[in-house]
Amino acid sequence: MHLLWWFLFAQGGVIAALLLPIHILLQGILGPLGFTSVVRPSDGAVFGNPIVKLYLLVLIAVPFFHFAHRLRYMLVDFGVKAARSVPAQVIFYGGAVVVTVVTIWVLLTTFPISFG
Amino acid sequence: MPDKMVTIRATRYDPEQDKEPRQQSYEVPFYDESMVVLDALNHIKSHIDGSLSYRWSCRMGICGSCGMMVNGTPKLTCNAFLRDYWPRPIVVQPLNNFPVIRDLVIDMDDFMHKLKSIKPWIIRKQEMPLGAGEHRQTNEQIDDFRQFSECINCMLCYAACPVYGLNNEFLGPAATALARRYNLDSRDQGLKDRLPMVADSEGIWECSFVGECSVVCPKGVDPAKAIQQTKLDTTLRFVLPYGNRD
Amino acid sequence: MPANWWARKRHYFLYVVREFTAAPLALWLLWLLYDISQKSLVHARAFAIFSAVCLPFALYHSYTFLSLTGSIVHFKVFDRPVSARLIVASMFGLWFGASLVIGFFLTWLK
Repeated sequence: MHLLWWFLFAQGGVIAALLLPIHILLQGILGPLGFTSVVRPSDGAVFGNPIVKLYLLVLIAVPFFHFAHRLRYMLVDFGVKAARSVPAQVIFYGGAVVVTVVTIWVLLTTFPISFG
Repeated sequence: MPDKMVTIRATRYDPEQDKEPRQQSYEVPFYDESMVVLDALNHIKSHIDGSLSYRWSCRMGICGSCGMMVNGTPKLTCNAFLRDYWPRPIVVQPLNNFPVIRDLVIDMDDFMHKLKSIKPWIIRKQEMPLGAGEHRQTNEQIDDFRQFSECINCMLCYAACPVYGLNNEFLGPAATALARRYNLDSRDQGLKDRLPMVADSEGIWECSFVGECSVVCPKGVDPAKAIQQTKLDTTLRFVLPYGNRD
Repeated sequence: MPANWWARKRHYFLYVVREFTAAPLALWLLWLLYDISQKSLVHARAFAIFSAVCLPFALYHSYTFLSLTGSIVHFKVFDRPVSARLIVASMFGLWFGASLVIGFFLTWLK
């Protein structure tokens, strides 16, 4: 199992490293403050597109396995031995699974799939 | 002209007499710029206090015996130059994360056990008959594992590793690097034999890539790299079709 | 091991910062997901301030993670190992390229 968590940690880390900064810069700062016109969550044409939905699923869900792994080991580093146990793994990676499921649900239910 | 002096503060601990370790200060003449902490320790033992206990041997950075904490950093004392610390006092303590036997001497049984567990020798599925001659190896094949073979078992990496400090079951940097040294050796066929120890939950997966092991390694082995590459190789081995496995 | 082992050396402290970056980034993505579910930029100003706090953490995560790929990724081309520096340079190049492409889509699709 450790192999799987590490693999997902690595993939999530790559995605977060390559993609998050630009999203945070544009969608988080410049867009909301009005410095540039950036895609907004209200754009039905963009958020209905299935390719966009797939991209968002990868962008949001996979890094959570990275975060779960890192935060769990951060607890280990701070001396919380219980963080290495199986229940802890269930909580952290299960949490990432929950985020994945919620993300899928949100993406499928907010704007209907359309190629508009 | 008065002698230039350096202060060495060494840990003293006699388990038969002391409840806990204490520090003892010594003034050592610093008469040559090439002097190292080991020279200072030898001076103390020879001329000031013969009861000070510590390990050393080659005094030239190849035997791995003289590893100690020097001002909080694991170092080979034969490789720690007084000129880099003087005029500040130099605090010499036994290597972190190991039980202390006496003064600056630590119990290295755990490391020896782990080293043995990864089978640091060439494992063959079938030995070649003597008549077939020696195993032949190109320079490129040796380059594959050369860096990891430089390990002198000095255990500075274990002293530096916080994961090992928090969890003594962790296989640790040197043992994993040496396992990789043999796994990458073209003469070796024992990767599967080492896998249970290496890919164990107390093995490579415990490493969180702090990287301090590689920072303190006096021989440039880069055990952190060895561990991360082992994680990648183990994962790929799991994922790739059978034909691509070692 | 003392409980504050990570505060005693600069390298250990930077390691903990690196690991900690997971927390603000996770929260940012959750906020983004919430905005998507609400089909609007909820509390745009607060989001901008929060994002401004998260951005340095994201940059530090990217910088440290991509720098370390040089240690992990290893392969040979024509029987010669590819240098770690080349791998790291390629990863940073990929980061730059991906940012341009995504940045373009985020602003052009509007």
